[in-house]
Amino acid sequence: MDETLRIDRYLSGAMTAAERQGFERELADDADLREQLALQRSMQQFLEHRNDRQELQQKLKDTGADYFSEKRARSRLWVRWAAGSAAAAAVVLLIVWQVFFQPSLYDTYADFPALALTEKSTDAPVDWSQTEVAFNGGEYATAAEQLEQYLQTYPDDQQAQLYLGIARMELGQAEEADAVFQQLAEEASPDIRAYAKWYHALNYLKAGDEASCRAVLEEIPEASPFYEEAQELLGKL
Amino acid sequence: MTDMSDQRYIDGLRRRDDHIIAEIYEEFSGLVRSWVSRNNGNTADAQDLFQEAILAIYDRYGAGGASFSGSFGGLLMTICKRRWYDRLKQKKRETDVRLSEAERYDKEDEPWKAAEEALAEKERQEGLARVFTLLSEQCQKLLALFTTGTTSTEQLATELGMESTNAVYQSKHRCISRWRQLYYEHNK
Repeated sequence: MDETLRIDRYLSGAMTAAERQGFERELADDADLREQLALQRSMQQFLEHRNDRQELQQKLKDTGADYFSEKRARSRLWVRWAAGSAAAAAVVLLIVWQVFFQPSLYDTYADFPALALTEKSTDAPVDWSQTEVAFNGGEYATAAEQLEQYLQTYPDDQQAQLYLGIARMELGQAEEADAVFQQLAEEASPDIRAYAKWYHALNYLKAGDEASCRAVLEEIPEASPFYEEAQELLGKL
Repeated sequence: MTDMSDQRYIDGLRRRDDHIIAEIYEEFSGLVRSWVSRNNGNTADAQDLFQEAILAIYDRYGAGGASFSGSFGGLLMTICKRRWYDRLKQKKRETDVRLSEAERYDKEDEPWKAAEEALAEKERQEGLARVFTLLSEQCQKLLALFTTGTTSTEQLATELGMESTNAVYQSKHRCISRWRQLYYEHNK
């Protein structure tokens, strides 16, 4: 039965209270009617947002091209082992490395989003882009030193704290990293907490403490974006 | 509960906010890329999945306005994984994919359900878009004018050369019925 008219009245709020209640009771029992309502609601959404959706799609295409370029997809090993070499030599080195050496479990899982401080502090008196370059290029000693300075100015920036933890972890300063991750895993906003928990586990892994690593991994909840990785790593340990 | 920052992502997508879009890529693209690469995919696959997942989230929770209680990152990853399993199945590479991992999902699980709903809305939006252009020009124009809400029904009647507002409503309903019919013919 074509219910276009009634559904239109329902969606546009033209029904009386009694009519609306009756319609909603019918909906509860009638799967066909529910499907027609869902489709008609989607039609309304399509008509209202199609230009916006196209605009978003274009933006995603443009942004995606930047973030998923091969340059960004570089392996961390590439950066650590091949920086400074001629490009061709570096590519050869990368292939040799991947073919002949198995990366450690830590290296398999340690993947960090790029650091972005300048976006957040456009009014800052200091040029933090150098800190970003250092961190994103794997110069963790420089990055850690500058992040310490940054945190003196912005002590509540949890993201910067997280990156300081990562830099410490990469430098093998397991205890210092542990303190940062532990604190963030307990006190930070939920998103940062999820990262802190995951890196906390990786820090133990890097330090060779598999039992503690396992214990932290087991605490990562299903809602975390790292849940799958955590389960996978648990399987390998 | 949805964390404030998670709601911020959804609001940002609704506004098509460049900074929020960049932040979402910055925050989550590495995760998706590394997961896809560990599951027999390449960077281009990861880019496609990521874009598809963001659009699905927009369709259901941004423009669609459905309420969402959960982690944005968790939802994004679940949609990407769910679509990747679909694609591998389509390519008949079951042996390559760790289907056991897909099966481990509880289908009643909150992120899984939220992902399913998002993907269903995305399919509906794209299905409707595909057949919209098959409607008559008059129908396309009438439905578009109705939606803007800036034109009164009387003005619409004049603009479309119709005799009464009643005729406008009848045409609108005929156009919607036709659109639905085309949708089912082309999408089922």
